Amino acid sequence: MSYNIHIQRQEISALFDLKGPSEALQEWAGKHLPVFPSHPNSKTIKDEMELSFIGRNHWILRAPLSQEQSLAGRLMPESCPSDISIVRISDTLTFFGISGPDAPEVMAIACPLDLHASVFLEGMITYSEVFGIKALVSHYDGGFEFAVEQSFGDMIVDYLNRAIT
Amino acid sequence: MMLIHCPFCGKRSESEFIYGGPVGADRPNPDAVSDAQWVEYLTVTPNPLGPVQEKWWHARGCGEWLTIWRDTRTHDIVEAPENAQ
Amino acid sequence: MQTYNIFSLARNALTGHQNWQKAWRSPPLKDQYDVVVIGAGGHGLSTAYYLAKEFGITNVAVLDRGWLGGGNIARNTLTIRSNYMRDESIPFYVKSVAMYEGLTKELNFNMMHSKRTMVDVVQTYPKMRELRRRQLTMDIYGSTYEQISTEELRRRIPALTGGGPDARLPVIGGMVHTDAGVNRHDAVAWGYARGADALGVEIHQQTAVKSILRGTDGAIQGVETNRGTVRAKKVVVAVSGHTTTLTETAGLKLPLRTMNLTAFVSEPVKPLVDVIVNCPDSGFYFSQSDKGEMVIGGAPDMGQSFRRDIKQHVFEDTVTAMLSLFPAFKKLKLMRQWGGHLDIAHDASPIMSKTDVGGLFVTAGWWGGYKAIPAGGLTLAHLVAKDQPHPLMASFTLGRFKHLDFVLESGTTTAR
Repeated sequence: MSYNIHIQRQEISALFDLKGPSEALQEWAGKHLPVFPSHPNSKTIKDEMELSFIGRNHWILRAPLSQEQSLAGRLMPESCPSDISIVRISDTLTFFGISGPDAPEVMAIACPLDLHASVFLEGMITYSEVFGIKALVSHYDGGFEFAVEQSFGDMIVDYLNRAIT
Repeated sequence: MMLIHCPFCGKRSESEFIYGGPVGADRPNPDAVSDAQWVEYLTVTPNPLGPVQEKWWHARGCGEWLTIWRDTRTHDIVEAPENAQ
Repeated sequence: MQTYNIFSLARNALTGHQNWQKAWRSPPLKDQYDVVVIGAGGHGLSTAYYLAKEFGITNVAVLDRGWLGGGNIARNTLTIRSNYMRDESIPFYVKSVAMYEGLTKELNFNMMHSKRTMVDVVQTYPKMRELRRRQLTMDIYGSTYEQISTEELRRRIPALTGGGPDARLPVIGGMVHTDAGVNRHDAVAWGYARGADALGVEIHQQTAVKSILRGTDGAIQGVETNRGTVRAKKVVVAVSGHTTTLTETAGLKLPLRTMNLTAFVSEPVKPLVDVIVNCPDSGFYFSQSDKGEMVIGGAPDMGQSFRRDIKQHVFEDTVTAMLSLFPAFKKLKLMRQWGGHLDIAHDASPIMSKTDVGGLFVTAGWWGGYKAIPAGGLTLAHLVAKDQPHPLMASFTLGRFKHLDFVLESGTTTAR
């Protein structure tokens, strides 16, 4: 059996890992960031920057790679106060886009989340598993996206090919 | 397969979690207890035929640590017993 | 006791097998014994047998809440081996393996013992180093362990077609434990029951112990059962997973947790694998029974459990691991699954000990206690009769926890 889906391994993004109380983070860098999302596992978007609320006192900022240097200059990870932490992690994650009519079927093989559109709403983003590996899974218009650690990237390609053929 | 309630993410598959052991007694001050009490704290955990409190780590999720009560006879996640601390 | 041999078989065949004696009696329950053994499983029955045979203590009752041999002795994977890690452990298991090999003769009961060796399929270098280290310790105590190449491994186990050079965990070699074997679990339970009964021990099935009774001086007085009070100055707890459930009725806390160990069998197929295959890096092991079924065991579920079936995700993980090394098994239909609930001590070694309660003895924490049944019974009988631990089990008393003198064996079994 084969599935009608389109798999795309994405280009690298600019990624920053933000930890600490949201008030302290907003005070330090709020004016450079989208509004902090209030619901767990949701995200907000501003000027191509996505800010995702992925754990207690834990956010991930994603932006096009071209903005990486200027973001680093504005967020100033090296000099932030001690109650927060900002770390550039652009090269640690690799993103896969899964789209097409059978995308939910293939994601259901890979991931234990209830991915139905009425439960895993469009725009939601959360850590879960993909083929047993920790992955940042999100639901966007017409498909899904997930990120795993870079070193698992080739293995995920192999898993996906086995799943769809 | 259990669905474990994570306080941040809601109900999630057990496979996202790592078992963190039973909840034992609070750590006593080693200078204030006898050797026998200290050894008991180190080695003895509750082993009930019924609800037991245990720690779980949402490791392949948001990273939260949480505790649940689980019945060792059925593996059902249950309410905390009334006499629980 | 009638002996089983070719002549008695022929004699009974002539009379249509109508005149066989019962293998053991069902005497009325008395209200007092010298020793009460709780649990008519492997360890309980062998302890009663050796109490009578080696130490002349025959006024013994073995009580079981269900039927004889219906607990973990019927719920394990029959592996008999002595490849352990610690100086304290290996001599005990060497003794037990040797006793098993002579058990058919000892008990006049066919154990169907098959000394077929165990082969470890090694997939990581740390595991290989650990097993070779074990080999050096085992050499000292007369147990056998030997490294073989991947080619020899695949020659001995032709069904092992996975784990090639491109696999995530390629097979890098094997270890062979020639002392290992399997036998028939029912024969062990029935053989010991018949032998003990012939020496005067009483076996009482359907006799559930509700609580352990202590006198005003704190010492053991007996047990309360569903059939009334049974008095004894010495009580032995040999109940595997339910040890703490019983000892708590005597106010005794033990460093034990009860866990569930996975097993399942396939449909019978033609002879395919003639050794016990153990895959420590993948977390499963199996052997093929005389009927042709693959008897497969997996890793334990880490949480505490008193259930007697297996968890779906443990089952799936075990099957997944097995198919990565034995892809042809994909076609096997799995027929039955079960879990044994057994208790594991803080250091993953067994506990055979007197307790703080005078007259109360426990044998517990047997993680894979099937292989330990003969020597376990002999050494526990020694402890009960002489009030002193047998030299082979002197390191396994509760005293080791008091002195934090653990015998760490996690890693040598499926316990992690």
